[in-house]
Amino acid sequence: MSGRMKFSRREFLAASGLAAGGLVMFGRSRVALAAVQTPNADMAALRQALLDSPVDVALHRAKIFTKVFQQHEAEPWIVRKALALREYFATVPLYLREHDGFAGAISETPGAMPLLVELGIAENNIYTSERPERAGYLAGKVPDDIQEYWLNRNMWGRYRTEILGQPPAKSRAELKANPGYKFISNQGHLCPSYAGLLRVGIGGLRQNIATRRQGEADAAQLAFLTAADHTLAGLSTWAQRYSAFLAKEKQQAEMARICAKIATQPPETFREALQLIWLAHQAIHIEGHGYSCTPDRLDQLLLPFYEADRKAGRLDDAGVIRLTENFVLKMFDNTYWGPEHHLTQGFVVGGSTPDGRDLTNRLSWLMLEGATNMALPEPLVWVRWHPAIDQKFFDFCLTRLTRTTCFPMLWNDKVVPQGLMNLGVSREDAFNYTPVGCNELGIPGQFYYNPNANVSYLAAIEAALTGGKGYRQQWKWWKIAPPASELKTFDQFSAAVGAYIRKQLEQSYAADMKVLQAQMTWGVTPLTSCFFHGCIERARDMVQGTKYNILSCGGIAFANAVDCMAAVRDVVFEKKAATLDEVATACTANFQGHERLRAKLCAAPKHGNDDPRVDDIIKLVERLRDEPMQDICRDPRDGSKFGNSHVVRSGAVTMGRGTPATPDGRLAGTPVANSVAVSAGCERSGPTATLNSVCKLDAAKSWQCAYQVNIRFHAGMIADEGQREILRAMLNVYFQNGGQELQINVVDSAALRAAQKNPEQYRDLVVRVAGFSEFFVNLTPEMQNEVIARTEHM
Amino acid sequence: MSTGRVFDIQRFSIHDGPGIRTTVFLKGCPLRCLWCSNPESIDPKPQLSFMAEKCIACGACYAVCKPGALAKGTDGKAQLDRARCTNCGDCAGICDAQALELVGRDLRAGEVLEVVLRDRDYYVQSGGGLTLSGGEPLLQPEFVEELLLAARSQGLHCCVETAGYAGWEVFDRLKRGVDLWLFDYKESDPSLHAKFTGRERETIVARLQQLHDSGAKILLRCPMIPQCNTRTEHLDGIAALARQLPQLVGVELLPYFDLWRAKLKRFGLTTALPDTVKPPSREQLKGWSDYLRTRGVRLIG
Repeated sequence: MSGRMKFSRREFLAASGLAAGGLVMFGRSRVALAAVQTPNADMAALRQALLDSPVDVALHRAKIFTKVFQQHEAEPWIVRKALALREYFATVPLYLREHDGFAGAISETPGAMPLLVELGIAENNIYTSERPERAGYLAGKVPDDIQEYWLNRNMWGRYRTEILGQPPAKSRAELKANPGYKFISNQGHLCPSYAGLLRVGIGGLRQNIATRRQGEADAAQLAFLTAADHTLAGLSTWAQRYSAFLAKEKQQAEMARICAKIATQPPETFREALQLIWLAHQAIHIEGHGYSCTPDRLDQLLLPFYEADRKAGRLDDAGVIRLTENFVLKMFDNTYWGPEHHLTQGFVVGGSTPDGRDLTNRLSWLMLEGATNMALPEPLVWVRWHPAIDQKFFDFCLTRLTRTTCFPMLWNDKVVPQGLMNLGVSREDAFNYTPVGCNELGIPGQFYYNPNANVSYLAAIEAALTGGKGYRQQWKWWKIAPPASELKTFDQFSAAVGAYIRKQLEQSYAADMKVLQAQMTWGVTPLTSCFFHGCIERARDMVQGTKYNILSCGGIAFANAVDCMAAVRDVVFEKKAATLDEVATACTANFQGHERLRAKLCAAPKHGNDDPRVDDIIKLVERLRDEPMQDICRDPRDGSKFGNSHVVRSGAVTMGRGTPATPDGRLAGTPVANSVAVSAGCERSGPTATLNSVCKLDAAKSWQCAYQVNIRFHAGMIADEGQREILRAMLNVYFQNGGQELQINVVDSAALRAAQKNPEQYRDLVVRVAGFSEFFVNLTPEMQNEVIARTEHM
Repeated sequence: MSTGRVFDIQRFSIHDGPGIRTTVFLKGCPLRCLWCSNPESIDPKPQLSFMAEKCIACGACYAVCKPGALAKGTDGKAQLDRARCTNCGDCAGICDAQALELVGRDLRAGEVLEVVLRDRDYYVQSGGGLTLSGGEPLLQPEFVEELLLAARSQGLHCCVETAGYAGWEVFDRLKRGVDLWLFDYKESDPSLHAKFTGRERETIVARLQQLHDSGAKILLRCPMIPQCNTRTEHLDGIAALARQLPQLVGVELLPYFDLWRAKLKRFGLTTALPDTVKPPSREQLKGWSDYLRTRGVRLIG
């Protein structure tokens, strides 16, 4: 297809929002129809303008970076990057959308996204798999001279030639369209610390750099300090330029004043602080971290500003809500599921101190309200649950779910910090965690998430069933485990699966370490580093190491893996109703002609139903991944151990499309489990059983870097006070019992209609009305319509 | 140790008593309510459920069916001749696709309690517990007593839902194990009561009065079925009864819902309730509630 496609932001996000982590319910209709409940008509208007804004590619950054990198070829890479960023801030044309109260845009054109040319220019595998018709999106948009210059010179090109040792590409035609997200943007998945910035301002940070320059520094350290100062100078210039620009606009004197002040000085009011944070947040994206950036813990960080404003009579609660609405609209405007990955930003409120004291404050309430008022699929909104959480606040959180169908998402202070402490994080720091991205974790300014080894459990199971060949003879994993015919017991079979997991992990780790090497060499971000503790003191970029360097091993489709192992044990080794070869043959044939075997496999116990028969298999699958990870994976920077996480990737539906039939009876191309809780369509025993099953996972030891649990509830359950109390009681139990994370999807009438159209994706959807419960897809169309009609009256 | 004939155990029940509960449904009922929401619960014997849409046409069931009730249908899938079926369940044992299932298992109290206790934390947090429903639990007093006492010894809050058609000695035997009775009251007019439920009203109301007078905690549950018992006379009857029973915890209206019709086909059952009977609107429900409230009835839910 040509590159001339026109999408509005709404169309684009609606189609792609389906993919982003837990946002399964946030489809096209939700974004368009979501009930905006703001009292601020101008914010509603701004929201509408963002939704209708066309998306496109903005070239100013690409042009400037190409020019500056060419001019300074003798300089160290990090200095060239910083000079380019500084030049960008000094030259980018400025604009302000009508009604917008915060300065700072991602590019020179509303809705258009910059290209990170010094990293890589290409389509991305994740987003083109979501929107295959958009392959070729960049065609004709990037000038030839820019493409030619970077062919073998950007991070992706240098990785190919200098790390992989491939011959330089002669033309763009030789390049893969999908190099992987780590080559077209920086790693992201981070939460900077803005405490220092708020305390001393941009000028203060520059002073810190100047002071550090007085100390000892080698050439590389001096280069970092030079680079960091250039980027901060650029950020300062950008703020000053906004001030001058706004001073000429009507009625923008206050914004002009704020921008002039924070260009060098620390902020003193809530609005000044939020404006400064916004500029920094936006600048981080422009520098290259487009992916999953969380702007520190705003309700904690901004509380002193709020209290000072209240005391001085400068700001009331309505004002906080309004500014928060504006702030999340800025984040949304920054969102783009495109080649540059500006997405899954989020912000978190609440939490506890290390000694268990509730940190929920007035801002937690107001900012949650403002964020959910806007009913946006992004930013993600998280709340940190803990045993001492104010239950009134928790109830308030649940009431907000109906506005967005999925926010806030919930995290558990009872287990997340423990998992981080198991990895060597101090108690104090562990309790400062924030979610970043779909379901990952970070600590402001101290640790950012970076997956560097992945395991596909299902591929390992396929390998064990086929002697390492795969259903389509696509692999040559010789002599890793005996052929299936020699696996006489379930223990032997699981040992074989374990051997293939180990092999995968070795390969994935080795490949990812090369990627990390590329990032450490060319993926530097001196500006973002200024917001990570110790970078200025050590005069080292964050990619060279932060306070904690916890890389992560991601497992894919955990629930399906448990179900596959349970089904093989049940059908092959206990009931002896089929051989492993027969299971492999049936999976290869996508069960065509093997319907009876499939039925037997489907009837085996399934994870997510609190079934004691799979308890040991949960532990087994965790162990099969943990043991080789402990043996193999170490952070090359400081030897730290890896943490574990569940990989959501771009969604269970997409991943399922490319996955062959599996021994749990799942058909080829159908969704894999979208969370660790239960495989698609296997929820048979209700939410308490599902949550109990999740609590059997060892969240602190085995899932330190996060897992994901989705659960669906009918909208009426949220609306009704009595039922909401029951829901809250259930969630309190789940978190008390060690559940790490939870995403609630509210099933409204739009979702039910979607279930009517695509029943295979909603097989687990239970409707409960007036004491009856039934799988929605099992109802006749007339009864489904009746349920929909009732939902609309809720 | 006795066994109970159970046709379902439903976790996360939130409409059968306070809080989060696990409801154990017992098979067999002396009433024949036209609108019975669990038509498979009436017959005390196990019954074969057949869901043709799950059938994978493997043909395995034909051979094991001794009475010859199962044969290949025109669509290639199994076809069930209910007239020949003896509900022996042999076919269900061999049906991998779970299209054929025998509903009604004989379980010991300990087996049931093991499942119920899995959600104990949720009961504690939400003020929930165990509910026995049916069918009519009072038809299986020995099992129910054993289960209730075992549950109570574990500290669980216990509800029993009953239609009230049983001898007083059964109530008397069970009442020390019950924290809250969910007592169904279906119709105030004696002849309509007999028509709708197949049993006389007097026995039921007499037991209700006796139970009330014995000091038991009772929630009166009134199914509201359009075209049947939503007449003002019945509402007045509910109000009068509530006045007669001052210690009632309250009255709960249960709006009719017709999902049960989907079950008829699975069990080869029919109903005399015309399908013109549709669930009441929220406005109707509110109207009845308001009517009762103004007559001094304490409404719950």
